[in-house]
Amino acid sequence: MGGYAGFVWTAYGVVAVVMAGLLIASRRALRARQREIAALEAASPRRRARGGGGTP
Amino acid sequence: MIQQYANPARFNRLAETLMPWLAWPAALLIAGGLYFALFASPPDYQQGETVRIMYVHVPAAWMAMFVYTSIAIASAVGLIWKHPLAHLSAQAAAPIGACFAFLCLLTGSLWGKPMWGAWWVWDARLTSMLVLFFLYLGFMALNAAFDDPARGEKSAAVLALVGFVNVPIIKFSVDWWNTLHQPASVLKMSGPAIHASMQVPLFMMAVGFTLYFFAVLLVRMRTLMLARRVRALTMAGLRRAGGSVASEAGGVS
Repeated sequence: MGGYAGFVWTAYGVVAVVMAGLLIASRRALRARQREIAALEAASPRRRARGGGGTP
Repeated sequence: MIQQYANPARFNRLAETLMPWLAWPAALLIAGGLYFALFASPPDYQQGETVRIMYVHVPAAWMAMFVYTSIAIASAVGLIWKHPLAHLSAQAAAPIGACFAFLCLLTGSLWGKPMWGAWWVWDARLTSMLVLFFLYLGFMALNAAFDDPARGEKSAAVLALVGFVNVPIIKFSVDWWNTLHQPASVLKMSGPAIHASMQVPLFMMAVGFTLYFFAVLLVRMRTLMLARRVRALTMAGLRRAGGSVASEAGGVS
């Protein structure tokens, strides 16, 4: 590459790492929040499901 | 119509519907753009192979400015009309824009060293892009700086709007000041000055990056909406726990 290979491949490499990393981190955060929500909703009392209970 | 997407379930359905239309075209355009950028386009007659850095540097720069503009618009909408998703979309977008600004600076540096002989110069365009990167960091920091998320959102939104003046400064810096950075070759009054063989990969990468941005934005917005719900459920749980403790103690809060 006329001696410029190091600069060009480093540039592309960092772009790939950052963009892939951002995508992966974002998806992992989403899945973590989804698991958290599932756990919280399982733990919290379902007011409507209780038959005839009083007002909350 | 936009109001109805403040409902998380509806937003999730919209996000799931849109995602394949964003992710697949993004992947194909970026893959195709990379092929043209690295293999099927000519070297520059002056810069040789380093011109290939343009195909990541310029789209990153365009995205950094585009995302900041979106954040400024969303902040204005949030402050004026208080749409529930406005500030949330700005918060979701900020880290993506910050990454693009960082990549623009880094790839620019890797291009500048062989071509200009310097990793960095305090030239108007480079400096204003660095300021944009700091504005992104400031926006993210302000959002996180307050116990009350609403105050954080408002402060960050004001920063975003005040900082928006920087975007036209970046764009016109090469016209207004004596800069080392080359002048505009694409968006100028007399039309693009670059050859089609370079325009094609450049636009493929730019559109690919844009679709990537929207895909990641949707993921991050869903995450933030869930985080809000987690907070709401946690607060409700704490209130219930506090209420039962108070009634056991026979006291009244």
